[in-house]
Amino acid sequence: MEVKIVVGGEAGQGIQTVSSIMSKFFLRSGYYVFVEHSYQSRIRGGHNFTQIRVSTTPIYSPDEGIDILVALNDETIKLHISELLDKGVIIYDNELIKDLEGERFYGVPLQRIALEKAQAKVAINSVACGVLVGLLDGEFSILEELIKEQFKDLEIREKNIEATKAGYEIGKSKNDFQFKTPFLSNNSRLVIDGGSAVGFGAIVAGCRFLSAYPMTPGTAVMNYLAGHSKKYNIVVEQAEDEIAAINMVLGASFAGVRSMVTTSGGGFALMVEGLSLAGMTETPCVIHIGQRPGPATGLPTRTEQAELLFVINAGHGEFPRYVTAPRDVKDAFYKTIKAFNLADKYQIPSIILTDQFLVDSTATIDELDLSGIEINRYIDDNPSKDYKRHLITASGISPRTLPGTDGALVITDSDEHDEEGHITEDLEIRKRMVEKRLKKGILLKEEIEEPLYIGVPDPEVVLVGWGSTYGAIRESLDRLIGEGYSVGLLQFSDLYPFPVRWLEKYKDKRFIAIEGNATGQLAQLIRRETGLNIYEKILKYNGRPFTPSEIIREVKKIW
Amino acid sequence: MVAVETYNNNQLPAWCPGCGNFSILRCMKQALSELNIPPEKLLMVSGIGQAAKAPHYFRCNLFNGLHGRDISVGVGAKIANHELIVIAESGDGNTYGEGGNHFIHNIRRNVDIKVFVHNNQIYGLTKGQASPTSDLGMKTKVQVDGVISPPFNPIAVAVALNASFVARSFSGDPEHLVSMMKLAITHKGFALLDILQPCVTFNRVNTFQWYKQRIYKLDDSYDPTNRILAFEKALEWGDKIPIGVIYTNDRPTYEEQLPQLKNGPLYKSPIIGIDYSDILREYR
Repeated sequence: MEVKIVVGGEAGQGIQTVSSIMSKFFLRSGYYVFVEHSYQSRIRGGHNFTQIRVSTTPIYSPDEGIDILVALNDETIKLHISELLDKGVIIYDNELIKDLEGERFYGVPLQRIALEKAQAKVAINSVACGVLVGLLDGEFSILEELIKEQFKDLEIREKNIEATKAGYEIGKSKNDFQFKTPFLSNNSRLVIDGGSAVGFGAIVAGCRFLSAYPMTPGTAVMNYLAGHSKKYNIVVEQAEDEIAAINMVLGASFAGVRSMVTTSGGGFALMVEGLSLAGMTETPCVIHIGQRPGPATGLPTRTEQAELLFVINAGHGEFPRYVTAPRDVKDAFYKTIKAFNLADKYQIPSIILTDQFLVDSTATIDELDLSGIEINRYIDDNPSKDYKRHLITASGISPRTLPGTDGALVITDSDEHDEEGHITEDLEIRKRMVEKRLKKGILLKEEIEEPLYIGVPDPEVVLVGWGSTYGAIRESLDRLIGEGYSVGLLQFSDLYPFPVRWLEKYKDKRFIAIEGNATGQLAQLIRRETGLNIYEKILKYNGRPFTPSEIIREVKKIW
Repeated sequence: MVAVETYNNNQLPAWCPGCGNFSILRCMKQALSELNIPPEKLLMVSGIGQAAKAPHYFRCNLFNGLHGRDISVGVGAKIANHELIVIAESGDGNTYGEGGNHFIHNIRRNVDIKVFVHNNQIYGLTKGQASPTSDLGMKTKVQVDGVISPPFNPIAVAVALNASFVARSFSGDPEHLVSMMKLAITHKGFALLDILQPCVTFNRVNTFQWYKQRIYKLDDSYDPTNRILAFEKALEWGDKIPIGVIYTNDRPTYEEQLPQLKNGPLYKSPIIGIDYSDILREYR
């Protein structure tokens, strides 16, 4: 059983509030949800919408079609009516939008109820939630609890409960409604968005300093850490620019705090010299990049996967780095922790590559297991008497101690340096230092996760994807297999150093690369790293995420 | 007392003979010694340029980073461990040119770091181009008809931004320079010390004699807490150049205002064995 609800309206009308309340409502009612936000780069007006997909079985992405359209303005109807599925309905304000007729239109005086019950236009969110729960035959007590949690002020809380109740009664009166989602079960699942998953992962990993310049969609992680900064003793500093952000983070990390920046492609472009500095000074740091369409300012609030080759190649000079593109919100949590651990272990920069779609979408996941998480700082508190920050060792990893430690001086330099960290132009030392730094990259390969394989055991065709496209490809795969296709999926999360063991098993297969960019960047990387050519590609670069339905259509065309 | 010799190391300076940097280096060791600061508790940060090499030539912790970004590194380090004494040491091109934005915004933050700028009004390491502080008309192989953009006035900018400590000294007056360094280091908050210094190789205009003839010391009659007077002083340049503490105030530092640092340095903040169940509750 599945219901797809779209809530649309202008920026500032509170669509996000409706979606966050409803996603928890469905979670607490025992359903799986996937929520995707589409919004414009503006504060008021325009057209924003959220798709809330609800199912009794696990779901991993948004999909096409609408069963219930909640239209907070008339433009929403115009833009989405063509997506309405059979038996789909539109909930709208029949006192504001006139002349709509037919069985599919459920007129509800949302604004009048909001003003009557709560004396505030913004309470149409509460009314709309009430109408939805009534129509769907849900438990009002669950919704009431959520409204209570939403509003701390007692008077506003009571008024919103009244408004919700009024909406609920109207929804309930339409008892011939097709899409019912009655209470199923209590469960221990969570609903979490990608931005929060990265932020929570960072806090659990011990990140206690973040510096960033606001840039969509990277800002979500800055907001998250700032929101938890007092309780968990985290300093969040808004930098004057991205160059300052990365350099502050390197200073804080050098002095011993797990630290990160968060940004998007354009901001990362400004940080690239700092990335190279992290490589040269062997200072651990974590960089979160939420991709959005470029070049330049591009489409600030949309999604794309076009920074893969940039991120892997960024920075002048040669130095190791860890790059990972989490495949979903759960992976984002664990990979963020891994990024911090590897940064410390190998004294390198780690890059977490997400995108607007992953950062802004909310999904149901099973309980996060925090018990198995290990944090090791690899810091030597008792350095030897002749401590050298860049001591050449067999592994290439030098003992790391912190400035301020008795008996040791910690010296590093952006210039080529000797073992102590002082500037050198001794070309023999230069050669040994290059080799030392690159050696760490060889060890790092052992830490890299192979791509996840799902599908039939010996497939005719292997779909290849990376990062956040996982959900949509996975759902399309399940349906294709259901239709009898012999197909599998290799989904890359860790991307650099590039994993290659999968080749052994799959190198002779026919591949189709599915990527959210215009040039097939993963396919290019695979060719560069393995010599394997992928000729068939499904590429999307209009700023919107993939849906399973369109992947199925495109795969069938190629097949 | 930490003896001056404690700061000596075996690094050989890459500076021209007669460079003002040598005097600044000697004064630095003297000031640190007089303030009894062990090398282990001192973190120097520097950028790029001949001045930015200075911290390699005495014993200290050091992050010698990118051109213009040393203040940002120092601020990050100070937030991580506010028990360290953090001094950024670089030249005029690094601090006022490449790093201008960080200079401005960290004065606003008032992080308790010290910024010592070797200001020789010229680019040395890149061999003789104009710097942001070069005087109008100075001819170089790039500014062939002379500099046509008026010089950046770091003192006036710092006063305008209400920097908590603004001073100027001269490499040719070690006694004065040591005293200014000590005042800057012991001041609580962001401290700018602009150190005038001849470049014996590339700056034929602002020579030792040029400075010597123009510089005068501010005496006790001058009140550095008066911002309006300080701004007037900051604008004095040319025939008469004041040195000394131009402006100071006691506004709160960035670190003092962070509740996160109340119980000790951030790097000691526990990160293992913490109960995150309240965060998990946000998602149910």
